[in-house]
Amino acid sequence: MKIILATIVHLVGISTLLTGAETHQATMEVLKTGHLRIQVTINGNGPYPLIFDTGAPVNLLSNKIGKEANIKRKPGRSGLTFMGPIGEADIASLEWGGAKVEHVPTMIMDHPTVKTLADHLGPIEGIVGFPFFAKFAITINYQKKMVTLEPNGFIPGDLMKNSMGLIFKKQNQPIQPPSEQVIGLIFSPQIDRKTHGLVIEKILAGSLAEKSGFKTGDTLVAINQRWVNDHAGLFQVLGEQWVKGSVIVEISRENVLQELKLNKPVGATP
Amino acid sequence: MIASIAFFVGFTGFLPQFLPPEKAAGFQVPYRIAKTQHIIVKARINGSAPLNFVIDTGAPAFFIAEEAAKKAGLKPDEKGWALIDELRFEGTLRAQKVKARIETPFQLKGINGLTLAGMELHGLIGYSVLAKYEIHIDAKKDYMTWTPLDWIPPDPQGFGGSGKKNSQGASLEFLGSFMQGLGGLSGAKAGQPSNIRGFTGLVLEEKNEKVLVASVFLESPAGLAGVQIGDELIKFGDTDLHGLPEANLKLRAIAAPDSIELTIKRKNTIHKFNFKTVFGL
Repeated sequence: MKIILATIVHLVGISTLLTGAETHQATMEVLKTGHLRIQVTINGNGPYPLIFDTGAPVNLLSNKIGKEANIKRKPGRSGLTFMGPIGEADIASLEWGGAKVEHVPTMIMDHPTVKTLADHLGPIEGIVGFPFFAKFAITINYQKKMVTLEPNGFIPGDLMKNSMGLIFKKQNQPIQPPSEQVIGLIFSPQIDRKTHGLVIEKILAGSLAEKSGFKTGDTLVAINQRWVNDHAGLFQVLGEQWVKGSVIVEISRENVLQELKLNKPVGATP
Repeated sequence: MIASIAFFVGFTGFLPQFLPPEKAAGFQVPYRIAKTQHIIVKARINGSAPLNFVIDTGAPAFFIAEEAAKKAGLKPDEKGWALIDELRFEGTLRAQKVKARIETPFQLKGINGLTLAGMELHGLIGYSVLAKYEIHIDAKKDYMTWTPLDWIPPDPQGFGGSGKKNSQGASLEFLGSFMQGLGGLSGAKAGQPSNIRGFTGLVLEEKNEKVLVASVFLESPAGLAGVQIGDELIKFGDTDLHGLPEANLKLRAIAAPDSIELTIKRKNTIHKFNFKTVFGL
């Protein structure tokens, strides 16, 4: 087993090309299933073959690597499930292609899916996901089998720490608009079947909406190219985009798409 | 997300064909990071309502949940695949003739069952689509950049398995269903209409320890009911009001559409106004 692992490590290599002061080019292996296998150094040990998975909200390492790389488990954060022992841990240092991150949270468990993949595709000891890659601006290129990583200063949240909060967080207040000022748009409760936008039922006379050129019967389709297809989405998109200043609202008027500029009202509360 | 790959068989032919890039710089594809730390893009399938997809290098193909596919009018062939005429991403990127696997990944059942992501997730966009582009993701920006690559990626291969039951572990399938069940118990349901603040048309202010109507549009629900500028707000339903923060909290707590009763003092006379909130801002 060790020989196979070593051979693969040599084949794939851990070639690190430093292109900029802090830009790293890391290699990856595109497996026949389309999965990406990368070679990762953990606490100075390895490299270990892991799957690079943008869809993974947590990192995952096998119990074997947990032991081999001396990963410290968080006290009181482990247990036994129907899938075997499971624990949370802190990786002191995780490095891929020269891109290195300290204190990365991970799950330690022998995941059945990872095992199935390894059975068919050769050594795979876990998954590298969001808590690592979100700390970099990454460029993925399957053709070159390369990922470029540049530190971006982003601090990912700890999903494992927050997960119970996600489940039990009470929503005791309706979703709020991004401003308590009146814009002057009243919408039909129905969504337009054709454009999937919001039908404007009424424009309040003298309002910002009227001054901005909205008319009764318009359908609001998008804001700064972000689709608006329900009322909650409208509040969310407007809140996100007003941060940048005034927004461009795409409307459908008598089946013709038009753009209107909507300023952020004075005294708007975020 | 490592999607079900064991019964991933029969991915042949129909490679997606993509439109040539508008600009050499690539397409801006807006995205959000869900509460579950998934990277989510919105896309329409043959003109459908926007659907939410996870950008997932851990998935070998483009997976669309069965219910979402049905709503978008996609009919899978006997092997579970469908061909999308146009896949239109939020922003300007459009792809033609995209093959998708119609199947609900078990992880989505769990996430949607518990409404964990803060939005309903309809599928995963994996290798068969992603490999066509150079993809730039920066969590500090609210869009990715996708630059079409001049190559045809090889079809992803399955590693056998027979029929629709996968060998990757019934335990995972069970986990998905289990979490979905848990969601059902807690009363949370994916994809239900959101609870939206109801629009009244009122803006309040505080003067001399009184809560006053600072502005009210004539044609707004409050205006049509007869509320006027300068009216003093005394009661919200049965609750006496003490100060502006409390009054604004009450205003924020009404959904759309809902009934509301305001007690108002105008020139030493008490008036009651009943009206319904609407969707608006």
